[in-house]
Formats: sequence, C-alpha cells, structure tokens
Amino acid sequence: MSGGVVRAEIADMGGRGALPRENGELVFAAPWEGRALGMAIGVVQSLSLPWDEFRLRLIAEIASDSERPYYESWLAALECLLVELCVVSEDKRAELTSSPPDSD
Amino acid sequence: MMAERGHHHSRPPSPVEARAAALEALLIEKGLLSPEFIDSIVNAYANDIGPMNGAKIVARAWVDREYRERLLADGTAAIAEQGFGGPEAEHMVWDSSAEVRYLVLPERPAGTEGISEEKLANLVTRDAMIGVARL
Repeated sequence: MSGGVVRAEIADMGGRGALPRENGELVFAAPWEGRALGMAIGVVQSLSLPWDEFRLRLIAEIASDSERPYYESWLAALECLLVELCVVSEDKRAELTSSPPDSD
Repeated sequence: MMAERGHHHSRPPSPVEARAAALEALLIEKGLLSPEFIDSIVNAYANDIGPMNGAKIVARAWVDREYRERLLADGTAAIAEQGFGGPEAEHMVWDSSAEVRYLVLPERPAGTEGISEEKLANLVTRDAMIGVARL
C-alpha cells in the first residue's frame, strides 16, 4: 500500500493537534520531524487504526507539556501508542528515551 | 520547503533526533514500516499540502502585467512557462474579484461507488476544490 496520499482528517486536524503550517504548507524545523510525521501516519495505516487513536494521544501529550515543541509531543504520542499496542515494550521505550543509541 | 532526509555529518544528532532515528530503526526491524513507505508519506505531506504552486502563479500575475494577460488568455501555457507541468489537464484561469467566489467541482475518484456521502466528503481536499489537485 502506498503512503503517498494525503488524508484530510490528518492534514486538516483542528485545535491543539493541528499540524504546524506556514503559508499553508507543513513546516518541519528539522528532518527528524518529517520522519516522525511519516512514522505515525505509517503505523496508523499499517495497523488499520482510526486516526483518533493517535490524535487523542497527541493532544494529551501537548496538554501535558505545552512548552514542548510540537513534534516532540508527536514523537512521545507515537511511543505511547506503540507501547499500549505492545508493539514496543516499556523497557525498549525507556531505552529509546533515555539515551541516544550507540553509534558505530 | 519539503522535508528531506538530513545528513549532518559535521555534528552528532540531538537527543530527540537520535530518539526518532532509533524508533524508526525499530519499526523497520519489526517489519511494521519500510523506509520507502515512510518516504512516500513524508513526501506526500510535505509536497501535496499547501497552495505554493498556485500561489507562485498568482504572485507572478500580480507583479507582471504581461504574464497576467498570457495567464488569462492561455492558462495551460502560462503555467507551464513557470515550470509547473499540468497533469494532462487544461488550465482555465479566471480573474476573480471580491464579489465572486469559485468552487471547482472535482471529478469523483474512480472506485468510490457505494461509499457514504460522509466518507466521500473526507476524500475531498481544499486543493481539489480549487482545481489544482485530482482526487
């Protein structure tokens, strides 16, 4: 399945979860933010989940730390979703969030 | 502009960058996503959202009277002239005013027979209703 189709329910999310935009286009402060967007949408599509499964967690993450940059909340929401779905273990999440992985 | 995969050889990744990369590697390892699949999503959302192509044409027409005349006379040619290839479609350009608003009725996508009106509405994008995207 191709991921190359924009879904209006994602692109046009309103309220606190709304994607950051500039002149209509999505803005990413760094490439990893784009990757995080792609991962979350990809996971939701691959697992055939309703978008709200992610969106509501995103809103909760934003609410829990309103100072945090948007895509950091986005990444936290994705990790939270993956742990709750048992795709990622709690231990693995702790490992991901505590320190960068070893580089070779 | 669009998000490209960054390669910053000169500095170590920031903690959040490393965290995102580690999660991506994990999801790929688990077979849930492929890098190409993520690429296709990122490209779609980075490139297909927003009025930039149309906005560039409009801005050009605002600042260049001759271009504006060509645009109104032959939209397809004038848009191609700016480097935007129209996808096998003729481009009709209207000079709009404060009193007139246009709505483009997009072609219904193939394979959507039997889909509810509500679900059909979710397929429609702003770009389709201004005639710059095909659904």
